[in-house]
Amino acid sequence: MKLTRTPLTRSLAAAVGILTITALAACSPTADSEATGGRTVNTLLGEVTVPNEIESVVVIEGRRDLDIVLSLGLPLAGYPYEEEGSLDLESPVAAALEEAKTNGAKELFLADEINLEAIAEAAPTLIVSRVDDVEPILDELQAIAPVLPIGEQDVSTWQDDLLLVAEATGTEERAEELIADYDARIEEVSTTYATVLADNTFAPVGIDDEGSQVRPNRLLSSVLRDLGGTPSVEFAASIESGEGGEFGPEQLVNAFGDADGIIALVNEPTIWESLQTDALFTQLSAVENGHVIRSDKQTHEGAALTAMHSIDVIEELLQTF
Amino acid sequence: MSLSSPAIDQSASPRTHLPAGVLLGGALVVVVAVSVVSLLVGSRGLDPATVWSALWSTADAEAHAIVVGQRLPRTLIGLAGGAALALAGAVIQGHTRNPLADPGLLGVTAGASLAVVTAIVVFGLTTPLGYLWFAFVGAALGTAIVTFIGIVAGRSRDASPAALVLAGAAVSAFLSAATGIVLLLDSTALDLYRFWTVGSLAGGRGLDVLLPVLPFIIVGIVLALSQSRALDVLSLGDDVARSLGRRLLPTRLLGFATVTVLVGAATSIVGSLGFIGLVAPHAVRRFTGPGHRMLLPMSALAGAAITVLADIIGRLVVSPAELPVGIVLGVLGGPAFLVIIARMRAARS
Repeated sequence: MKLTRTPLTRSLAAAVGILTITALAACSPTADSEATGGRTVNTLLGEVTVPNEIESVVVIEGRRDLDIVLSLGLPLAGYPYEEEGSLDLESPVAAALEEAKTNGAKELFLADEINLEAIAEAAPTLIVSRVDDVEPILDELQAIAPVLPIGEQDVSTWQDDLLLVAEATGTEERAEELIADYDARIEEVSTTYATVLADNTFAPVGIDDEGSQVRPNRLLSSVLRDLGGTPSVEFAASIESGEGGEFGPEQLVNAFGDADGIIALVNEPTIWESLQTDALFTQLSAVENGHVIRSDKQTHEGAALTAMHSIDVIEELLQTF
Repeated sequence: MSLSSPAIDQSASPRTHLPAGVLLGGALVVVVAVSVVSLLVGSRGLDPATVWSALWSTADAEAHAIVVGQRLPRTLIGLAGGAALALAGAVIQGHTRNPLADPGLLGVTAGASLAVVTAIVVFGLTTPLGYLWFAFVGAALGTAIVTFIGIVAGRSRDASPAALVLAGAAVSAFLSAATGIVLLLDSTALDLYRFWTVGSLAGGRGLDVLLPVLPFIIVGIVLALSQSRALDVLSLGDDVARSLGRRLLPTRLLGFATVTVLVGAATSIVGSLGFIGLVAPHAVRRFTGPGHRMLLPMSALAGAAITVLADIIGRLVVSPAELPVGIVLGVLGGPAFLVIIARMRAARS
């Protein structure tokens, strides 16, 4: 007998899929979490009750959520991964992630390609991720484990989200410690390089084949602002407007020629290599004077670990003055 | 051997009766005018005097870098790539006697795309110069498949233009699917390929990219122009051509080799530009008539002008960002394709 695609077979396929996820979720230790009580926190999607004992955590977005879970020392069970070799600079969370992997954390799916079955298979006690990622699939995720939605750079600070997850998981002390460490490092660097930060202008500039851009709320931009670095004209304009500025390939010098120091956010090594001989890039005064350093999209978003890494990147730039 | 139906109306005469010199001169003026506009327009506002100074290295370094480092190369690359693709379109339309034939529609460009992706993923090549030979091989693969389909269609006695276009669409779909599979296996190449596949004149392409490819384009243009008489004879039908002493197989093989050289070279520098090979010959046929002596050079000039014009539009519509020229051509070429279909139906009825 030949099978054909009909509404009935499609419905059956969908039902089987849902049953599979539900069955896998039933194996999870969180299935009876509400019955055993837990901590309740207010999130962007309302109240969420989290079990008292967190045995495993899955993150879905892989940047701020991953950073928070790793820095709080929560038992990471699964996370999305970037294609091997897609970025040549080391991840700010590389060391912590390596330790988590030795403790059993597994790559679940390629970043931005959420796989519900893989999440269910990991049987987490808690799911943490960006609100934009979890909201469309909240019901499916809640069938697996409690979902703790957090914000992103244009919604909330990483400190707010760190404290939220800490409150939900009983790790407030660790969170306070991380924030205090960050504040202390900011104080140290801004004091050490106070003159350089005051007397020069800076810009974190994303550069790719299609032009350049500056964003005020990327994590590295926020760290630069926390350090008290004087923004270049376009960086200041983007801070003022709260929105990013985008520039065509021809506008690089016009947009960022006034910046004395530049953090070039370049993802691909081939583009970075070609920039070294690019007639416009090499005309930037920051480049001419050797006050340029490279980072990439891994410093766009994150929490304590990425923020500390961003301070290191900026300090490396400040040392060139 | 019969490759297609005699769909191009060979009795059609040009709607204008301008001398050849006037037509070619007029087309050259358009090409020059579009090129000048291309040098003047960009996201960084530069007045004409500054652009002129920049061309002679007397302007400031920024203007020189923008005009000579970016606008001039993209203009020259657009001219060369557009001319090559349009000429390839005119040649393949003549050889197949199919007014809907186009390197993009018939899978030749898709073949080059697959080869370029393979070059990126398997061999780690990242520059247009590195893609060159792969684009050639891919274009040859696409041409071979189209040729095979042409032969089979000719034997079946039902080689209508629509059937060939459908077969070409199937070939394109197959090659595109293969490209997709390769990219799925290595999504890190996607960013690199994305910029190539939409067709772009920017992205750091300089004269160093154009110069190694230029000899191939020149050879392709010479080969194409040398076939104008053969294409005129072929347009009378295979039987008549044979009776006039034309050896069909070598003639067609030379034609497909020409298309391969032109498309391979063009796609290696401008990426996967669609529709230009279809639209440009049709745009000039109403002025030149079906005779290939004028149709071929006019198609090349029209292709050059249309490509650079599309690039200019791409620079303006979402300024300061840019739309790749391939996207602009796709948006303009889609409706143009429908107009061609409508006109063919009207002509038949």
